[in-house]
Amino acid sequence: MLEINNITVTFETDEGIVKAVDNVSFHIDRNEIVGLVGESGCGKSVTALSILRLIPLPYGRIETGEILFYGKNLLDLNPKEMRKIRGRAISMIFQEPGSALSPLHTIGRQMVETILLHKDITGKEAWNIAETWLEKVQISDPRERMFAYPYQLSGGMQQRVMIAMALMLEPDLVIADEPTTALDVTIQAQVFELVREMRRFNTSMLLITHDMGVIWEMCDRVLVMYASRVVEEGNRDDIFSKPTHPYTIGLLESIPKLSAPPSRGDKGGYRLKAIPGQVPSALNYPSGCHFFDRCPDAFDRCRNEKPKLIDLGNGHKAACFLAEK
Amino acid sequence: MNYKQPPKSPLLEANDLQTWFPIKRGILARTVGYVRAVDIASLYINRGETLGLVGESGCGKSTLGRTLLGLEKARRGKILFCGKNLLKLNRRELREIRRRMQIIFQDPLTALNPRMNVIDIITEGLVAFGLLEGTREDHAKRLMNEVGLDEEAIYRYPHEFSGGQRQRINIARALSLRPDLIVCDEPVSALDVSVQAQVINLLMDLRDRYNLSYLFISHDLSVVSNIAHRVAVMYLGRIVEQGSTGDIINNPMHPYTKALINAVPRPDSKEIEHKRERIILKGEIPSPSAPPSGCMFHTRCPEVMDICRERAPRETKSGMHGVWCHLYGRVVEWSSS
Repeated sequence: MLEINNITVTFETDEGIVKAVDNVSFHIDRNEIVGLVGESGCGKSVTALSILRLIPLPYGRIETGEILFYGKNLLDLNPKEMRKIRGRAISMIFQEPGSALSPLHTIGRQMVETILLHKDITGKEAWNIAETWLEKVQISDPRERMFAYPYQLSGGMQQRVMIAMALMLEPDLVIADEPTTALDVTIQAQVFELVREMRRFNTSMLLITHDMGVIWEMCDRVLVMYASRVVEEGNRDDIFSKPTHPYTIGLLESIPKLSAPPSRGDKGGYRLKAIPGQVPSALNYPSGCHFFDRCPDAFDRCRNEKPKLIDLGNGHKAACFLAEK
Repeated sequence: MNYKQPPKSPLLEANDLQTWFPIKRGILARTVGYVRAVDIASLYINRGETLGLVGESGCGKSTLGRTLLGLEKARRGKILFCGKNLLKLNRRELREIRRRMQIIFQDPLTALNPRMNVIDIITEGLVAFGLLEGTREDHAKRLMNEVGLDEEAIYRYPHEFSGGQRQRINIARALSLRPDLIVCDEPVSALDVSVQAQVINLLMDLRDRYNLSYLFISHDLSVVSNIAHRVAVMYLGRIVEQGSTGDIINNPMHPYTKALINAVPRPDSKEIEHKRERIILKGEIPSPSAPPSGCMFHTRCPEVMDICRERAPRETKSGMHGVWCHLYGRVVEWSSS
């Protein structure tokens, strides 16, 4: 349904041109939840924004590539055509519902405005649609909540409203950028339940997160990004059971596990396997593999040559020379 | 500095602490109510021990940590540090105690003065307490080595460091006065996963090297289970369950603890995934300015009983594992607390 081929996004900064997304390709099928995981600054949000062409101009530019949505390249559309796609065919859920909703308008008004922009119906009908959707995302007293301002709702409620807005026009694809990061775990669990329900509507989803646990709970397929590139891709079980790229391995090992090993006795805690060093600045990535200077298995070839994604079968791919056998 | 505690008596003990914030209205700023950030909380921390304090946002865990350090004023209760009640000390005595209790904040950047360089930041406390032996530079370099930073970087400013490095600077500052207790208030929440692990490891190494005690405050149960010896679970101003990390993770008793553990998204093996029933709590945390009657958790509890709406539960204890829930034990007398 959505196919992204070799997109590269650059930003012009005072210190020079920064490649935020470097030659990224992937696809999303119908009714599939694809996770995009990586640390801050790895380019995962920029990838998502570029799909909707929301890269801030004039500093940001999509240099190369194509974004095919049902075979049509979104990069060729004019602004007016693009507006028809946004919110209707592809919608977005942002990390902070508090800043994504307008503080000056009631929930109802914001929802109705969006509906009327895309559908040729009366305001009354739009109001009803909005109200039904508030009910579907389990907001109590939807009738009254329509008149509430965002500040009157809690964070979890606001995120439900965002989800309702993203779904009410029955889009083909929802892009969710860290939808639960600002929420407490028990509220996060509620939102996940809602998203699982959402699959009934045949909606696909691109879920962006830094949390491998969230990926496990929600996704069918996973893309791991590191320093502007996709380093590994595969279905969920493959990524978790046989991670291949040293970064994916390190990422999985560095997550604290919810457990209290009986053997540790009085020691109090066990050392985590941390990835040494830190994410390099986008201005001076290593010239070969971007993970070169933190990789425990790096060898000479990694220094200057950029590894390509190597197919390991079953859609599992890793961008590492070690996977080449 | 190497004060030996008599065994058995904890380094820090807090009994029935209560910290309320007044809500003021009108031009006369009359108090119209209270935000009951910490309603009743008791805990203890032994020397060299890490107590994890978990709970969701707004449950009062940070306020509790700050109250223990005297950064917020407790309305009621007792805080015993090495046997001295902190709430009864005068300013001079308090100042000496404060040297021995430090704090690390969540956001490493805002916790550092942007106009001071690292050497000034991490030796400021030493100068203030007159504990500087030798030069500031020597001290700073030693501290930088201690937390795994380049000692040549002492003349740089906070903005020149990455998030993980900044948190190391905060740790170096907390360490500079050789404290006995460090309150770590969400010390790794603002960091990336790969860096988070480095900082957790560092905190554990330092604890073991200097026999430090930590109050480790976090919303992330996985992080806490990784570093803490014991865990206290807090909900709406009260501690609802307390016990060894093993007890809390493997044998949670309180319905809230169960739900909290259940809600942690994590990769499980296939078998566990099927066995694990999902407990999804309804609703949200009530406001601490108008807390529910009886048990604070009754509005969301899947196992709520009539009694829960009326009376606050007391602690039921088995060994070190304590739980505040009507499901366990019987209430001996009627009381409204």
